[in-house]
Amino acid sequence: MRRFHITRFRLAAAILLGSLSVAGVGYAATVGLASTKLHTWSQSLSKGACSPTESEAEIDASNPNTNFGNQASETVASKNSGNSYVLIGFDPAASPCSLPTTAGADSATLTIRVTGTFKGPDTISAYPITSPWSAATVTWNTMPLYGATPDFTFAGVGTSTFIVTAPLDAGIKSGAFYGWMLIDTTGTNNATTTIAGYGSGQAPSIALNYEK
Amino acid sequence: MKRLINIFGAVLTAALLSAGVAAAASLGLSTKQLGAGNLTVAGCTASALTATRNVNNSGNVTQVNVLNVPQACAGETLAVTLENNSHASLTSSSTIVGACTGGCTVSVTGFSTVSATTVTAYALSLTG
Repeated sequence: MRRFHITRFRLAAAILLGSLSVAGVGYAATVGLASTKLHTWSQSLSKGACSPTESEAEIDASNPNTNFGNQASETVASKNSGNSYVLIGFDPAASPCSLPTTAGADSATLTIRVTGTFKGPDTISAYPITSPWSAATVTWNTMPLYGATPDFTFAGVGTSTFIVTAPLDAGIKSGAFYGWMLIDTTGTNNATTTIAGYGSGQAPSIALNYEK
Repeated sequence: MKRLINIFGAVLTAALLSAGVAAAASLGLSTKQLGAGNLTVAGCTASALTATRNVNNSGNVTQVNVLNVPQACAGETLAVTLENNSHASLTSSSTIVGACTGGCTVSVTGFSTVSATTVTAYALSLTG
């Protein structure tokens, strides 16, 4: 058997190989570190309650170019000669709610007061309005667009409440909540349903609990 | 022979320096494991992205939307935990970030039934 002599050359070669092995382990760890991407964060929510500013208008097919906005009462009518609808709107982005589009509704309850009916009482269906309108200018001929399916219905005299959390939540996030179009969907001739309006002190209102 | 040993000496020095860098990287890896909370390690974004949530008409959370997620996060896992005011977990879910143009909104669904009124914070993470 040949004797193995440790020369300076062999010693240097051994140290070099050992060093490169260590370096190899290190680079493997570096690759592992780079491949493990991680980003964490948190977001706190604040809670509050408010009643969004309200406005409404009646639009009348018999007076198609006349504005009937923010009156003490508004009437939904089903007539031979021409229907009338009532638009009710809320603006959660305006004061006092002033909610940004990143906010949301935790709960929302709409209250409507029907002060009188003539004939019927007919069923009133509330269709979600899908395009802008202004209580100060809207008329039958400039009525906004509205959805095909009502969010809720009601009939008869008295105070009614409706859970409208999902529509309010979606409206807050879109930055444009247009409210509802109230339409007589029973169709009794000359039936009317009158609701308390903006100028009555008992206008439609929403109790909104929000997060932002 | 002496010249050859000098050459090996130079190579050895370079190798040891490389090993030094590797050792620093190894230490960094250990530091990551020790880190907690909001430490960002080579993430696809360094920003605290804004999240919103949708509810149904019963007021229960149906999904969480994380806004303006960078394209660089495509393929990573976005996890969301809904927390109460004690920062206890109410429910959690996750999704894979898809490819999109520009900053995109990523929606996470699949939460158990939780009333939005009880949610006071979101804990979020992006991992890849």
